[in-house]
Parts: sequence; structure tokens; C-alpha cells
Amino acid sequence: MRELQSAVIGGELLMRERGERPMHKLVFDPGSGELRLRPRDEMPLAEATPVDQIASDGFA
Amino acid sequence: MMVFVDAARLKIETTVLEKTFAGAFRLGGEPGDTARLEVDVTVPGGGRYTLLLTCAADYPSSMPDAFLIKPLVLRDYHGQELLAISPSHQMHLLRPEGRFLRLCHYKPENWHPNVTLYKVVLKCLIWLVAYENHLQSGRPITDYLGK
Repeated sequence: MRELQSAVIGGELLMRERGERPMHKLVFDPGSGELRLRPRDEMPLAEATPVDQIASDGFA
Repeated sequence: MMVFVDAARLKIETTVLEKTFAGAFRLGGEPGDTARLEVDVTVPGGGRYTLLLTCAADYPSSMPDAFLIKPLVLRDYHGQELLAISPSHQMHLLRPEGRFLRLCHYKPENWHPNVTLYKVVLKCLIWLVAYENHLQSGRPITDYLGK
């Protein structure tokens, strides 16, 4: 299940790089200490950090 | 004198990290040395890693360097050590320092002094997710993170 979650996040990253609309929000959940995908229309968790912008800023 | 920025900035960095990586980080520095943050992170998929961020005396005006210090050896899809192919644009790796891989994170044009070490750690976490996907697919990391 954990490996599936990582693969799903990877799939979302690929979609974004292809210019497709992402299906989920990417957040960091301090409770688990891990990145998570959340439904786009779900209310943001109070303690979670949105990571979409950080991811889309690009890497250098 | 401790090089790490000013006391107020140190307090901000510590407060954010205590809320997000409680018990998993070590932040400090020695007189005359660069400030260092070590943080243990986990990738969904089970991989556990330790990152090292080093801050120069002019941080946060300058970006920290981000290194992967544990595990010491990472290999690509083909079994080749990442250290041996660094620097690598396709794998978003900068010139290594000693045995440590140096990860790409913020672009200089997107860096500003309000970016905290916490956000750099998140950036590195995204790199690690892309790396673990690379191990399964063989795709270069640029496919996941852009060129």
C-alpha cells in the first residue's frame, strides 16, 4: 500500500510535467512525516502544508 | 560567534521544524563553521533517508546546500552509483561534496530569504519521491520534476 502511494504521487508528478490537470493536492502531513495526496475538493487539513506550489516551482 | 543567522531567524526555523519533524532533526552549528540541519525523512514507499542542509554565513540571503548523507550509496535504475554520474541534469544532482550527493532544490530565481529550511526539506522530499519512482520506472528524474 505504501509503495502504491509513492507510485501514485509519481504518477501525479508526471501528469503535471505533461501539463495535465492534477487529480489531487500534494500535501505534507506532519502527523505521518510523509507527503500525501488529498482529493482536490477536500478541505485542507489544518496541520498539513500544501506542497503543490513548492513542487511546481521547479528544481535547479 | 555562531554563524547561523540571527537569533530570531533561528527561533523561526526551530519552531517550524518542531511542528513538522519533531524528534527527527538536529539543528546547530559550531563557531566559525556553517550552520547545519540534519533531518530524518521517510518516503511513502518505505525509504528512509537523512538529509543534511548547510547554511553559509549569508543565509537566508543565499540558498542552503542540500546533501543526502544516509544512505551513503544510492544507485540508479541501471545499478550505477549516483555519485559516479554527478553532476547530472537528468537526475537533478549538483556537483557532490566528498561522498555526499548534492540535491537540486530551489531555482535561484525562486529563492528568497523568507523560504525556510523546512521548505527546502519538502523540496528534497519531492526529489526523493521522484527518485524512488525512477527506481521502478527507469525514467529520468527530470520526467517527474521538470527540466
